[in-house]
Amino acid sequence: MREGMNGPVLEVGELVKDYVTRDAKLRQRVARAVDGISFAVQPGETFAIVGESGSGKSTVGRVLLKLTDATEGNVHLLGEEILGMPERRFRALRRHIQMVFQDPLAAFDPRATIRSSLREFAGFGGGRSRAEQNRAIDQAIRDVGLPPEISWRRPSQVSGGQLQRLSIARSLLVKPQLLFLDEPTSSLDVSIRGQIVNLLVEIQDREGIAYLLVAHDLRVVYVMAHRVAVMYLGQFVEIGTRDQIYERARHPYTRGLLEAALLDEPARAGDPVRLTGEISEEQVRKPGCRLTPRCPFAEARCDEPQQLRPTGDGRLVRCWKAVEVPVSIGLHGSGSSSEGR
Amino acid sequence: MTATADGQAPAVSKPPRRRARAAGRLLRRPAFVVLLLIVLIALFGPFFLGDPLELGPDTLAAPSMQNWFGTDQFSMDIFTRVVHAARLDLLVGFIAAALAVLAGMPLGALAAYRGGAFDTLLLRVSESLQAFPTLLLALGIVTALSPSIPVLVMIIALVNVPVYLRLTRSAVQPLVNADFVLAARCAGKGQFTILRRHVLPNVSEVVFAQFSVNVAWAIQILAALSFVGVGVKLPTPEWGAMVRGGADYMIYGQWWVALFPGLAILATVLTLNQVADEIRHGS
Repeated sequence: MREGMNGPVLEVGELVKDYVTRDAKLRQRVARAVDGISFAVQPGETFAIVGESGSGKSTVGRVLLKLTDATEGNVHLLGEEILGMPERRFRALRRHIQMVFQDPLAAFDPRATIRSSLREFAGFGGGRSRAEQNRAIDQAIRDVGLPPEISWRRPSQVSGGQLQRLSIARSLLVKPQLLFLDEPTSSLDVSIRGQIVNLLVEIQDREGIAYLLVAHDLRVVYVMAHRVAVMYLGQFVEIGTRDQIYERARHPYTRGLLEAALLDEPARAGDPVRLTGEISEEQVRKPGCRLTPRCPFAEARCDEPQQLRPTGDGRLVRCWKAVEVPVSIGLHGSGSSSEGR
Repeated sequence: MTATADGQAPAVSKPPRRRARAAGRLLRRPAFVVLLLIVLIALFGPFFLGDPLELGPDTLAAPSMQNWFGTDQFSMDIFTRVVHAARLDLLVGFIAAALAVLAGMPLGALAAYRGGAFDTLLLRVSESLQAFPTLLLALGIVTALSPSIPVLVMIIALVNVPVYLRLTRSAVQPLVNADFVLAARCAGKGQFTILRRHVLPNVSEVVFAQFSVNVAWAIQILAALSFVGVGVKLPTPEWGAMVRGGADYMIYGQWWVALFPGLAILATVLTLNQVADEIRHGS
């Protein structure tokens, strides 16, 4: 029914997620994990969110799947607002948005066979006979390059890489339009990562699924993403196409992150930026730029609130200096914008 | 989803056989074998022995070839009575513990799953129940009501409910947000389906281990209640009551009247506790 629509698969507006905890004296403490994030994911594209641990990137996906409640904002899945939707009504919509977990071993019930875990998805919403479910399961497992017999094993009897393939197969059984990939490779051996990345790219090319990728491995993001958002302490500090981000990053944080990743290509514009110190949640309570204690270019004006501002080539950057006086932060001119992947 | 029994589906893959191995593994655990023996004695022993209330020629006869465990003050054969009593004690212990599991496990799981006020309320209620010494609480309720076997079972079950509630709650809590539970939610499964299919099976090991301990505990409570005189009364064969009846003769040198039923309690309780250990560490 929605096959022919051309709007974005997912549209997120001003999303806020607070975690409320109480300290030893029962005083309420609010930790803002996600602070006013907006983005859209188009059909068939990969939108990546990168950032350090603690930047709030995984929380975004969990909110979108309604595995945890949002505090504010709105989320439209295939044009329908889902945040306020009661769980019962959303259950039918779950077939459009699925998730691949970081640790495949934790994502499967340790007591159940892999097949019975897959069957839960094959039988989504009912209406499929057991024979149809079996055929769908066997096909899904073959599609990720494994023999169907493997599904009779238990999760602990299968290698991490195989289990992650099975986890991908499982989430595809309901034919989702959007797949949330939560660090899909970071719990795997380095030698396996490439295979999983290739598999995901292949599936996207074949099925036209949109991916929301959350990762801190910048190589994985480079291979998979069309557009990239860089997240720091709950906010996006820069959004652009993959090449804009990787080749001509503007925000000091993005540049520091790329520098730290030791990627040898592509050649980047501008002087190297070294970030010092560590991510600190103290900064969330201050009105200005949250990177100031770590940023080599910080000055007085950075303590004013910073907005995401367009730079003219289609990207958004949350840094007045990068937008207004790029030369002073070591950026010499910028080339023409180009397409991602 | 649909319950069409379509076993001959043209699935490429078929499940491998297993199951027989699980039973074999159980039999290799010593305490489990001993427990099995005790249960078998309780079940079939009485068929080979006489009436536990039958009076013999001598009172307080010492253990001999005729009366293996001797006779008591009423001249009844103690061996016959100890075996008969196993039925009552094991049955009461088992049923009481089973009732406690049936009530405590779902409540504890729900408390962990729901959280909030429901969780707090259940916790406070079970805390106030647990604040009393178990035996005193049971004693109080029994004396308030009339002590019959069903009442005793209910009371022993009741004082055990908080144990399961808390145990299940703490076992379920880390699973509520486990990835595989979230995955089941992504598959569109409802709360109760997830609880039944994914959460409870994953805590069953802990709960079964506790169950074994609890049967032992229930037997002890029953014996203790009988010992202080509010449980089962003589001449009904029950271990605790028999120990009570024999205690008076201990100082006159007739040790066998109290010793053998006491040993029966000891053996059963130790075995059940050992079985719990084997469940926890084995598998």
